[in-house]
Amino acid sequence: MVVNELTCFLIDDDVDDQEIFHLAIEEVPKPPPIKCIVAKDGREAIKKFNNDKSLIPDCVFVDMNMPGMNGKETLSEIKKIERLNSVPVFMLSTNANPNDVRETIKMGAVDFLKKPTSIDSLSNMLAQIFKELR
Amino acid sequence: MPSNIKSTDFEGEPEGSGIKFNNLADVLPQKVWTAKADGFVDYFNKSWYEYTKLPFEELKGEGWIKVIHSAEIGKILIDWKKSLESGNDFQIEHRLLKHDGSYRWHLTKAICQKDEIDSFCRWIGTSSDIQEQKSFSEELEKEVLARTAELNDSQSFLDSILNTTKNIISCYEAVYDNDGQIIDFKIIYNNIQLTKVTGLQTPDIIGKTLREIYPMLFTNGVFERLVKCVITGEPDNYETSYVYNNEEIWFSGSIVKLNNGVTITSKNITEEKKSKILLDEMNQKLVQQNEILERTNTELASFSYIASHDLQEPLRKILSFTTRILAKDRESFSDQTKDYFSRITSAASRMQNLIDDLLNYSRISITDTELKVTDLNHILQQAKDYLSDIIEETNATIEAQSLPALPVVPFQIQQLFQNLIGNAVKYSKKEVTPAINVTCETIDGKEIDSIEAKPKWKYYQISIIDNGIGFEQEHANKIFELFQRLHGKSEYNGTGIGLAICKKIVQNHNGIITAKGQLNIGSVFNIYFPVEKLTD
Repeated sequence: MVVNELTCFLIDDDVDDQEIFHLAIEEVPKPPPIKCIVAKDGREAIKKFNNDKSLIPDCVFVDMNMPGMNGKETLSEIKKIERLNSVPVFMLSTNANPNDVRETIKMGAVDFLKKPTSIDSLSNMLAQIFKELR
Repeated sequence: MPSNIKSTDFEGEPEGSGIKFNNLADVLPQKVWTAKADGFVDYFNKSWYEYTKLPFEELKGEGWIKVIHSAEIGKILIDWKKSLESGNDFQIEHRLLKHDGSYRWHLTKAICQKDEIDSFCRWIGTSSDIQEQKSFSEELEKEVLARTAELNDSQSFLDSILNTTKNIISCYEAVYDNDGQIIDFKIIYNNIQLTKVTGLQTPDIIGKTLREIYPMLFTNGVFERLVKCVITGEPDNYETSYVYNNEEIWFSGSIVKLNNGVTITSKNITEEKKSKILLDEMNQKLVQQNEILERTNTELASFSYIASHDLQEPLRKILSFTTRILAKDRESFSDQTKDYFSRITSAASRMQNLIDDLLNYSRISITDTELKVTDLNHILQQAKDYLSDIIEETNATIEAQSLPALPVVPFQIQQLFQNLIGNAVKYSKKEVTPAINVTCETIDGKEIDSIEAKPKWKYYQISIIDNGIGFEQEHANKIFELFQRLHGKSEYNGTGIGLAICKKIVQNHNGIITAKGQLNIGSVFNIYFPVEKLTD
């Protein structure tokens, strides 16, 4: 791993949202360079973590609304992996349902983000997060 | 009657009897007489003369008839003749005339004695004064008649009571088996009401037993209650039903002990029973309806959430990509193309706002009704903070009086204030700085211009007054309806849901919201919250 490179892990089933996320990351001012790993659902994400024990991203973004293992379940599974205990997990959602917000924060998510309607806004949001991670 | 007549002046000695007889006869208080076989009375004792004060000459033979009461003469003569002919004993009650003119009842008896000497039948008779007994028994008879009459009156009175009441009154007498256990009851009385209600005729059932006439009493537990009442003497109550003319009639029965049985008073409670059954059914329906409503509400909640999410997601994509295009590839497009893209983003944004507001509205319907006493000044401040951007942009001023602390759902009230103050700023006059006033006072329900106001309640009136464009008062109610707007989207943006949300929030808090507008002068929005009792 290149020093100072930020690794973020995105778990989202929606192809468009994955693309939007990538575009947003591109807009984030560098340094540092940002690497983005993508899993299309919870199960794939957990498998990736289990297959590579050295994989410890700087932050994880989990989409709430996924088929199969949904956002909450994925969050729960991630929290079970000991080496990821101090990795901040952010929930992403189209809506900010107060119940979901309450529950996921209680389960250990750092924040609950409502997906913005423009790539620029998302980019600013991410930039802010990455700044605080450094 | 001459008072100097002495008994020794009288002639007439009984034939063949001697002096002894006279002496005996004169000593007796009874009146003694004798007669020949042909009925000729030939001797009277002293008592006779003392009583009648008439001489022998007048009484002898058949002269005695004159001292007999006319009412009895006929029978005496007939019976006397019969006895003379048959020799059978003679006995009769009759009235006898006393020397003072009064009549006294006498019992006259005579027997025929065969004379020892000449075998002729000789009659010996006595007449005893029975006036006392007679009057006594006459009095007694009068008494009895009077008492009987009284009794009949009482009986009629009682009957009239028993037969005019609407209740059925029955009396039963216990029937025992050889071991002394009560096994049945005999019907000994019922009033007319029984026939009227059940059709059973009294003569058909008196004397019969319950098992013959009301067998159902042995299966519905009533028989056991009757037995218990007879044994313990304690009154009891029960309910039972009877089918007459294909209709079910319900009775409420009261049992009291009467000697060796019971008296039952039954009241027809069919109407009340029917009402109660109906009420129970309605309650059941209500409970069911409530369950359906709750289910529907839950479904609606999840539907709203899912619908809004699934609607927003494609919208977000449209906005994200079109804004991206405009940001990155502006130069390669003609002005017209740029304009088209603008309109796409604009339309998509509006749809986004609409969905946000709809979701908000539905969230407020599905009540999260945990009321917490909150300082409304605090909530007002939070609303102002939320609107800080547009407040700053427009230089709007907001002056507020002190607001009370009330039991509310805080985030809903914040939404309420945000919507109303947001509107006040949004619908301001061009070139005029928005000046908004928030006032608070208490008011009686009857003074509130709304049919929802309870006249006997007291309310807090919180008013949001602006100097904006106002509106025509005729629309005052319409603006609170869903999707109702008074302006096109090109003039002022908005979804037409904001005030509907305000109304829903206010209703959640048992409150009322009204609006007053004057075109080009301003608007006043009044929120009324009931003043809660401070105790308990």
